[in-house]
Amino acid sequence: MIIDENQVSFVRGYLIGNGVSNLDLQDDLLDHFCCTIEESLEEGRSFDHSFSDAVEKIAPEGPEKIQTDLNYLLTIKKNVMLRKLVFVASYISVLAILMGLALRIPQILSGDATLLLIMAGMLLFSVTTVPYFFYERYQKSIKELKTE
Amino acid sequence: MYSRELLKGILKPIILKLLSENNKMYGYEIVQKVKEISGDKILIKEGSLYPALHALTSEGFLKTESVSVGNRTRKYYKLTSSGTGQVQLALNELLDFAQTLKVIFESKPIAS
Repeated sequence: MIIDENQVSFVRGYLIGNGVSNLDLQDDLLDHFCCTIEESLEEGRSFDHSFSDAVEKIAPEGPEKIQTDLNYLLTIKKNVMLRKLVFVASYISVLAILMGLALRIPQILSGDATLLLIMAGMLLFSVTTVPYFFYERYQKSIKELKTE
Repeated sequence: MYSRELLKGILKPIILKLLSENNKMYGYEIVQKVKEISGDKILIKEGSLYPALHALTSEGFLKTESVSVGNRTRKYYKLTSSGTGQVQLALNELLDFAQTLKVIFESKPIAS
């Protein structure tokens, strides 16, 4: 037994309404829900009953949780690598600024050389740490907005 | 039924092994097949299955083929050539791990 177009639309609406925006995952879950519901309908249950059972069975924590887990799994390696790079760049930039200041005072390095070191540190800091900081703040604010 | 924690690390090898024997499968089919083969001992949760399938696809081990079924799209998952090569590696690692677990859990405590 294949469920009708209205019922498929209803399930699709449920998935979209509950935060499944990834189209590939949407197709997967829609088919999975439909297969589960069809099996239940064949056992003589109503569509409403079958749908509730399918939700409980497939996505007890909500379908959005599946998408969150999927995004985490797909981006974790990239995010870890990005954080490593930003941490290393931040360390080097702070080190360059501090070294520039430290070597300028006892005049171990010339004024131009220390200025160059400080500027290089500031430049590195402004193109790595600062944008990453604001990007993180942006992501956090979007997340907070969605959970309100 | 085994716990979700136990199944976490073996889900990908299970998927690769099943696909190596069945050419192409869709998500619901994979869940049912594993349930049947394991005698209801391994129940794959959909919340774990799809992230694993998508991760394997993004790693280049699987590819998908979409087919219209009624008024919805069914996505079949198939092994790529690098996925086929990965099957034996994943299975060897898992079998070796199982053997090591057996050694650990079957070892007798040393009498004092």
